[in-house]
Parts: sequence; structure tokens; C-alpha cells
Amino acid sequence: MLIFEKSIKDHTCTELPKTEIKDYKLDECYKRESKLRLVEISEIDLVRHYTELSKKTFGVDDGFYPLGSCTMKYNPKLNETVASLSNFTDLSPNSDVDDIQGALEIIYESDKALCQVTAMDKMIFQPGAGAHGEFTGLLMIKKYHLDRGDIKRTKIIVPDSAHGTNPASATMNGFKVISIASKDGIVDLEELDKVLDDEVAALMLTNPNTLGLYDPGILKITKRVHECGALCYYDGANLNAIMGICRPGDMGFDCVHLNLHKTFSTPHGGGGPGVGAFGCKEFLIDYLPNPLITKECKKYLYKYTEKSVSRVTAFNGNFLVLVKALTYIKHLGSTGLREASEIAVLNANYMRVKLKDYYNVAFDKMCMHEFVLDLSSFKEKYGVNALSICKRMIDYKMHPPTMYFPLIVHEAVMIEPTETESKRTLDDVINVLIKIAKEIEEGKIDFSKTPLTTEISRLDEVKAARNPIVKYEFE
Amino acid sequence: MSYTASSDTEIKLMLEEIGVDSIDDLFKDIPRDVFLKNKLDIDESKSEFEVLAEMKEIAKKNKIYDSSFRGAGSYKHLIPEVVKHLSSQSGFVTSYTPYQAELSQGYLQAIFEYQSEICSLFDMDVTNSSIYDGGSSVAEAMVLSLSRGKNKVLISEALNPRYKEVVKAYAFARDIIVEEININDGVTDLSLLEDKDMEGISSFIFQSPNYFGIIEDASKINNIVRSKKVEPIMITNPISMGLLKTPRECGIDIVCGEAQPLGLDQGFGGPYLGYIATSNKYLRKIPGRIVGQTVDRNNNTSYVLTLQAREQHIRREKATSSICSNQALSALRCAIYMGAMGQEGIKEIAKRCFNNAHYTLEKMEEIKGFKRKYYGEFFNEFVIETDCDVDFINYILRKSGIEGPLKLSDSEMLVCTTEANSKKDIDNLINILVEVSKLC
Repeated sequence: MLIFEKSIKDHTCTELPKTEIKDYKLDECYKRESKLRLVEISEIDLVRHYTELSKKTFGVDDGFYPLGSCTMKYNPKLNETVASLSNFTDLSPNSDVDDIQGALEIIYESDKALCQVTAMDKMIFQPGAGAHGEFTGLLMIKKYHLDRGDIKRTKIIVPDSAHGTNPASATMNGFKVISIASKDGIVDLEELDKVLDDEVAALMLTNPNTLGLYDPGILKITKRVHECGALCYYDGANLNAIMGICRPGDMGFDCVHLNLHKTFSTPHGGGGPGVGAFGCKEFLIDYLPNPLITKECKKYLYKYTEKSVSRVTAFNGNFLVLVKALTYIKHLGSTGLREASEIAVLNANYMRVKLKDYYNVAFDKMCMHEFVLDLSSFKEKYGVNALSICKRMIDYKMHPPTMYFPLIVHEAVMIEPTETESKRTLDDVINVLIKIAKEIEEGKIDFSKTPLTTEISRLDEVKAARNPIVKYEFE
Repeated sequence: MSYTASSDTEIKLMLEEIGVDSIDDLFKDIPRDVFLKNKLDIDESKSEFEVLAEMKEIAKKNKIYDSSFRGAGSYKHLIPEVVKHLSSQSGFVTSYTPYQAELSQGYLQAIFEYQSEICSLFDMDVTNSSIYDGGSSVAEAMVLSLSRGKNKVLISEALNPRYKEVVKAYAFARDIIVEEININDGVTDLSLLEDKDMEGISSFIFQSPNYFGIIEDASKINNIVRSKKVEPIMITNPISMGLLKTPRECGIDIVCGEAQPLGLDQGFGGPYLGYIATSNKYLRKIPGRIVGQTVDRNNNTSYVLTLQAREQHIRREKATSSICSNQALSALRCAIYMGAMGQEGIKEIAKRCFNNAHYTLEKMEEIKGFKRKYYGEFFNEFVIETDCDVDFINYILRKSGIEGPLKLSDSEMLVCTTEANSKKDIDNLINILVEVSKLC
């Protein structure tokens, strides 16, 4: 039931303090005439409404959540406590610099720590999420080439396994997208050579890529891109595989974005807010969005640069999310960060090995923090597609993996268990997946109707898009 | 410490199953040239108790004021405790984007309700489930309004300068030229707008109440620019909708801005909540996620992410924006806030913002050397010209535990009040300013 249907005239929740200030007159010509309709509800009914909605939402706290490329690791409760300290929550971004020294220290410390993780020279936190980091980075790359008088560079190369945000961010910057085919799941150097010319502005790459494979030719790739005068952009969506093990800057990348809501455990919050931390090498620093934070004589200051691409958010990005990420970094320390990546990779390989007799692993070799199954044989043999198989997992109280991505694998199912799951949980999940494979062979369950046990069954998405109802109609 | 959950014995068993001797063997594809030999130069792990203590120490270096007269895009409002508690429930906090509708009906319904409330607030037909913040929402609205063959946008000088900077970045990305219309007495100069050559201009972006707090004549702006085939885009403070004319009442089809005033912490700038709401005209073009109502197989009413053909994960380089993760939890919190306040609460808050600002101005104008800079009607912010040095004023106020107005220049300041400023706070401010004025 929608909250509007629970609304009862003159029910109220919050009462404002009494005021002693009189009413001032506002000319009628400025006044709203149309009726404002929201809701009238008592506090207890409001609490019950949202508590019910929260219960009807499956989170990491509820169970296994192996969404590939999304890194749904456990979100430590400590993060939430720190980010709710009133000296952070009640701080105005327009306060004077003397009053915000703690906040600037958070940014400065996060910059230092994440430069260590990535081998970059400067990290900033203005972008709202990963795609916004991409937008920012490509904007800087565009300005960098133009400032050097290199006006021909209008293309961005992305592998066909890339996230959809990569080409979309390139288009937002007016670039033409050149997609290159992968070979054996990694960048095909011959294909790369064919498209590298003096019109290429940059290559965008995720490494390990969306198949969970680390590209062993990475140094050759970045070298060749640089040789043609273009830059290398690292999409940090899969950083959770390599923290403390290897670093984008050492691989030859010139800039990176990280998704702090993935790798650094700040929660996803049902789709955001995140932080699209963005970092670059020295030669690009002046192009970063204004302002940068510097430290002089123990005091933190804002610094503005002339060449900057201006701003991408009005203030300091999702600052309270950054507080959570720094809390996580301080709690884990350098050894803990490395351990997180090691166990993430261990967990993925364990699941891959235990499942490969039952499911076809696309590019079956040592993977990093995730791996991709190709379920097309189930579709061919039994007429059961990846969607139906994944939806069946819901009946066993777990969230389905990422489906139909990357696009280069048919009936793709992308599994990222993360480091925070125990062997026991993984064993339970493996057993469920083996059971589901048997259910398909036995043919006793109608997979076209999965999930079978949820309050709501499969939804009519076509109807939703054809006759869009995107808001409640107040009477 | 790494929140991993298997024992060393279990880890050994897992390595055996994989068929390798050590963890390092899992990373054999990484070229030795890049494989790190040393530890990262980051401090070693600390217990949660030590981390909490350390972060509290850092937090203490921020100064929080109980009494503040500073706004300019980030506003101190009263936030009911119930809002903070409900928005921190674990289903909301630890879930992913609700792609799996069967597992996310709660969140999807909450966002559908949010969309409904935002549409009602602005009197619009459609909104998305959020954009990163006010600045990026203005820039995305600009992109939404671009029409083929036109390569310019026009903005009012009276936009929040931070929004101008974000627009500038997005415009550069798209090779769009940004031109500006100057102000006259604190509002967009309509005669300049009327005379402006609109060749090649897609849209005109203005803010009302504008950066200086003044209510623009949105209807007139709408008429002027529409007659020249230019789309008006209005930025507004959502709280003002409890009192002021809606964009639709002025003929506007695109409204955008920052919804932080609706229950979100100031949080040093984020997470905030960018919104874009439009008339039906832009239903299939608006960027970002949208939740729609539909039915399941058994004809139960249910909710699902819809119109995804606009989005990057389907359309890749042809998408209307690259936005993926957004500000969902901020939108949820905003919806809870609107529920807690209700329509009457929002109207009352808007009225108090207006009344408190007018009371403050009245009192300030009585002080020698303080005068109002612009004379148009305003909402909850206004500009004061003073003979005193603004830095000096704020220095004295800070000593008295008050966050003073935003400095616009040495002799000008932008004063803001909300319902969070009591009469006592305001009177206290005025008393101090009277004393300050004697020193200038």
C-alpha cells in the first residue's frame, strides 16, 4: 500500500518549535495557487510504513549478494557511526576555512592513502560516483590535448567487454567511441594496433576486466597507447582484486577512478550515494576540478588552478561517504587492504573451481575477484535461460549475480563473491547452484516462472515502459 | 583486519581445492614488473575503537555553530530524528540498485513515492530517482534541453556561481558555448533578455529565488524566451514550493536543483540530492533512473525500474547520460522527510523561512551602516551592503558562536535564515551587529 493511501486528513508527525515572529505579507502574484499534496501521517504509521519497505528490500545484511562488478562486500557498522558524528554531518560547505580543518584533513588523508593504493600523484573526491569520475577524467583528457594544440584527438577506445558507462561518458565529452574486439577474453594487441592513430585521445580499460581476467599484456598495451600520443584511463570498478598487490600507475595508467562505494565498503544505499574518487599523475594535476586541498604550515587550504576543468559538483562531492571510506582504510591498514583483495580472489577461484563441473565457465582459467559463466548450453538443451536460473537463486534466499554482462558472453552470469563471505557461505551457495543445475535437468520445475516463492512474481516490464506510470495521481 | 570470514584452516582447504600452494599463486597473470614487492605506505590496522577515537579527534577540528546565517546553496534546516533513524535501516543502506525487482519491492515503492512527492512539490509530470547534486542536475538539465543544430546556452548572472562552474564543465565537454545575461537590481535584466540575439541558443537557465535570494519573474522570462524558441530551465529551492508559484504556473517545462533542504544533512557538501522534474514532454529523454508502476504475473501492483532504453547499461554511447550510481539513499531520506513534515509542514517551513528573513532584514536595516542592496521581493536570503568590513563582522560573530552571512565582497554579504533560526538567535545577531557597527 502506498503511503498516500495511508494518509488521513490532519494527521501530523513532526511539530515545529513555537515561533514569535509575525507573518510578513507576500504579494499574491508570487504565491502558489496549485494544491500541494504530500501526505498526512502520524509518526508511528510513518515508522511502520518505512520499516515494512526496508524489510521488503534485500541487502548485504540479509544474505549472499554476488553481483559481478558491483563488489557487494559487507558494510562495516563502524563506518556509519563515524559518518554520523555531528561535527561532520552539521558542517556547512560554505564555512570559513578555519572552521573546516577536520573536513579538509579527511580529504587530504584520503588523497594520500588512495594515491598509495593506485600509484597516482593526486586524488580528488568531487565526482558523485564512478560514471561521474569517468566524465571528469575524459573532460580533463580532452582539455589536456586541446591545450597542447593537439586538436585531432576525438576518439576514445574501449574494449567490447567494457562497462556501459565508459562509452556513455565518452559521448558526454563529445568523443567518438571505438570499440575493439577481445581475444581470449583480453585485449587483442593486433586489434588495438589497428585503431591506434593520432586521432585517439585515450584508451579506457578495466584491469582485471569484466570477465575477471587480469590482462598479462597490460604493460605492452599502455606502452603502445602512449607511443601514439594518447593517454590511458583506468576504470577502477574491479580494484577489489588488486589492492596492495599491483597498482594502476605502475601498469602505465595516467589516471583512474575508484568507486569507494564498492571497494572501500561504504554501502551502496540502494544505488547510491557513492564517491567517484578520481586520481591522476603529476602532469594532469592542474586539470583536476577546482579546488584542490593543500597543506601549508599544518593548515589545510583550498587551491585553485587556471587550467582546471572547473567543477563537476557544486561542493565537495559526497563527503560523508568519503568519511566512511577513510574509516575503512584506517581500520584495515595496508596489510588488511591486501588481505581483502587476496581473499576476494581466493573466494572467486574457489567458487569457479567447485562449479565448473556443473556450469560452463567462460574463459576457464585462474580468475581474479570474479568470473563469468556461459549458460547458453542450458538454453539450448533445456530452454532455460540465464535470467530464469538466476531468478531461481532468489528462492534460496540469495541475490542473483549480474546477468547478460559482459556482452561478449552469451547468457552471461557474472559472479563476484567478495572477501567478506566465509567458506561455509560459499559452500552453501555452491550446493544451491549445483542443486539448481540438477533441477533444470530433471525438468520438474517451471523455470519460466522463477522465482516461485516471492510475494511478487516476475514483473511486466514491457507494460511499465509502454504505458509509463511514474507517479501517484492524487485525487 | 579485513572483515574476511574464513579461518586459516579453511583458507588452506580452499587453496587445495583450487590446486595451488599459496595465495600468491592466484596472481600469476600479473607481470612481475608490476607485482608489488613492498607494503603500501599506509598505517597498519587499528581496532575499531582506536579508529573511532582517531576520527572523533579529526571531527573536533571542525567548528559547528548552533546559530547560523549562512546559506548559498547549502541550508541548515530542522531534521526530525525519525528521518535519520528510518533512512538508516539496513535494507535501504546495504542493498544495490534495485535491478532485481522481486527482491527490492520495498525500495522501489519508496522511490516511486519519492517521485510522486517531488512531482507534486513542483507540479510536474515526471522526475527521476536522483542526480548527484544541485550543480550536476543543472548541467544535466542543460544537456536535456539541447536541440539539434544549436550550440549555445544562456544563463542568468544571478545563478549560484557554483552551478555556473558545473554548467561550464559540462558545456565544455559538449562543445557548447555559455553566454550570460546580466542582472539589474539583483534580478535577470529582462530588457537585455528581450533584446538578446537568440540565434543558436537552446535554453535559458535561471534561478528563482536566485543566488541573491530574489524571486525572478519566471512567467515573464518564460514568455520572452519561448517566443524566441528557447527552452527555459528553472532552478529552485524545493522548500520555496511551500509558498511560491510553481514552475508549471509560470509555464516552465524543466525544473532542477538541489533538494538538500528537504531533510539532508549539510555534511560539508554531500551526499546531497540533485533533482530534475519535467512535463511529460521530456518523459523519454530525462536522464537517470526512473521507477514505474506495473503488475506481476498474478496481476499484483508492483514497481520496477523503467524506460531503461535511455540508460548507459542498455544504450552505451547513445545513452542520454552516463549516470549509473546516483543518490538513491538521499532520495529515500528526502521522501521520509516529506512524510514526516507533510504538506502542511512544508508550507509552514516555507512561511517561516520567508518570515524570519524579512524580520532579520527589517532589524538589520535599522542598524547604522547596514542597508539592503536589492529591492525585489525575496524568499529566505538577501544581500546587505555595509560600511563595516565583512571579514571583521564575521570574526566578531564567530567569537560569539554565530556563523555569519556569506561574504560576497568586502562590503557585501548574503544573509540567510530558515525555520532553524529562532527569534532569540536573530535578536542576538542583531544586538551584536549593532555593537559591531559602532566600531566601523
